[in-house]
Amino acid sequence: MIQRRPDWLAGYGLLSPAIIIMAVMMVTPLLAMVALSFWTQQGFELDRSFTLANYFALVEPSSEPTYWMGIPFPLTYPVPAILLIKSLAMSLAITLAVIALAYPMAYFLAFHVRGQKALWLVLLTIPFWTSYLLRVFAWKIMLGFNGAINSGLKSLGILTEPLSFLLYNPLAVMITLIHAWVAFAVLPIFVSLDKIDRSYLEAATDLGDSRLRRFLQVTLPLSAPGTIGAALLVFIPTVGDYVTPTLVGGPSGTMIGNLIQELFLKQNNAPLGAAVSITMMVTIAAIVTLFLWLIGFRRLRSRAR
Amino acid sequence: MAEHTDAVIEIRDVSKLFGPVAAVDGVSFGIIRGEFFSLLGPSGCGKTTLLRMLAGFEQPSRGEILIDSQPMAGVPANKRPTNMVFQSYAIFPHLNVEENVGYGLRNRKLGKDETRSRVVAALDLVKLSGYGKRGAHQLSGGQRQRVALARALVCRPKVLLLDEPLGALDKKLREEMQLELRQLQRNVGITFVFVTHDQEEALTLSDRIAVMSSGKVLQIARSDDLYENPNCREVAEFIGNMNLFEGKVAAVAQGNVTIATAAGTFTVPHVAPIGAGNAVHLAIRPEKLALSADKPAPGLNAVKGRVIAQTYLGDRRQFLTQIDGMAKPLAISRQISGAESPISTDSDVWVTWPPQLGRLLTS
Repeated sequence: MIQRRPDWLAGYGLLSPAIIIMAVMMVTPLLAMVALSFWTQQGFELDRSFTLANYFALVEPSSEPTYWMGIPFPLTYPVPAILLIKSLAMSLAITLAVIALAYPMAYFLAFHVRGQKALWLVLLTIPFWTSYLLRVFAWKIMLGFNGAINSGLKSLGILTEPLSFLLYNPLAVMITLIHAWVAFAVLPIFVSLDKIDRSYLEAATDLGDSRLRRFLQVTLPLSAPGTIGAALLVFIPTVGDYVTPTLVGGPSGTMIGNLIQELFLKQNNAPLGAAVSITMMVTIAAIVTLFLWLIGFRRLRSRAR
Repeated sequence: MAEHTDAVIEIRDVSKLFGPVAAVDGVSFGIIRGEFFSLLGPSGCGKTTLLRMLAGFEQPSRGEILIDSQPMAGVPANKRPTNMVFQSYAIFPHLNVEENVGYGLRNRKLGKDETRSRVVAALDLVKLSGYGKRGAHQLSGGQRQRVALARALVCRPKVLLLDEPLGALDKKLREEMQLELRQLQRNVGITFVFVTHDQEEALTLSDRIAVMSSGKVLQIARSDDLYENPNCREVAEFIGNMNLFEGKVAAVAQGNVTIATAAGTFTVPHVAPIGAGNAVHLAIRPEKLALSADKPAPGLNAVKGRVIAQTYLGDRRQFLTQIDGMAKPLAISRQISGAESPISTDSDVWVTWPPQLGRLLTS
């Protein structure tokens, strides 16, 4: 008899480097963050006694509501709540725009490029050969007061005065982030489109579908797993982004990430910063779960097989 | 002309070029309403391309296709009165059986009840009642095949196109499905155009068969006619096993031709005029040859040889006999009834056949 190790053991064996890295680099800091959010900052010292004060500060009601975009926030300290809502809204818009831009590109790659797909994929990654910061600065140059767009339009005689609304606002943040994430979204969508057996499309046509109907009834549902993956890939990290708003957002383009950074580094209130971070994380997790549940992700996944 | 008025499909001098290569090369024939028609040929012979042109997935480079007397040029695949059963079945993985079968009906203005009852009837037809709610991935190969059939038939096409639909099934299931398919075709009365590379399958299923090679149609005939009277060497060799003697016409007399081959002189029936000296082939099926140890009676074609191998096949035994002057050994197939005398390998034998069973092939 040959003693065989059970399969699950071999599986965990192969996974163990990843599990160890995840435990050390992710779970531990996360737990530290959770712990931190229950402590209090006292000057330069940390008061390590358990308290919910940080979380309470985020929801403490006030009789005089603060208004943002016409929405009342009846809170004593409304900034985190407002920034969280604002960041979620911006990320949602960014995600929708990214999918709208990436899907046609992926579709083109999957269905209309023959033989040279690898070349096109490499071309898509070219923007990533430069640093993210450089790309953000490039947008600053594009959108700036004396930037490419303004001086271009001026030299064409279309403008006499440069447009001042291009840079340092939420729109600039969104344009920059959309550009940064489109290429990431193309790949998973491309993979799920490329995987679709062409005979499904022919069958749909054979059964009387017009091109549009075939797209809506067959191509779109069959590419849903990749498209949803791409959406999550964009939505989750952009909510907490703080580099882009710092560089191109100006005062009005601030996002929740900027607040967290400020609480940790400038206002010297790490516990409150931790509480805001945790709140943001839980909110994102809840939204994503709700979204996946709504579209019946389990069903989609089982049928995609 | 009678055949033409009853043709549901007319293919007129159709060619399809892929670059410089002609996948289909000047093909013309008609398919009769209600028949089971097979396109048979080795892979790459253009049979699938021809089928895809009927479906509208490819456009002919030359010539025209008429379905029900309507020219199909410029009619897209989704507007043609044809439906297709794909080789991979192409069952939509995101829909269940019912939704798959009803897919084509959603594109028609049908009432809910009408759609529903037609789906149920179609599932019934392919013996899948009660499977409506199953997901596509829960089906076996044979069931997928039935769903694909139901999905196409539910649209009530004028012509059903089948692209090697049994290719992915194992032998036993394939034979079962062949029977069912034939039965189904008789029941629904729809014209079936069936593409296959399996000659046995084509012979079993079809009313008529078109044998294709290198983009051309070699012969169109009923199954038995195709087997008994191939019109050229290529068809003779593709359909079943065939022994061929290469030779020249030596004499012509009274509907018979005497040909001289390296293995001897044989007689074969032939009515069409042919001149002496023409290079021809004499073709004879293995099961039409007899083996005996004794010198045969006069009047039979006979050739002496040596048995070099024999294979037991259960219901029959296959002998390979080496003939002096011939490169390939003759194949002889003998039914096993239990009464015949055994023939041992390496023994000298006479191979005989009545002249009328041979066929003369001029090309």
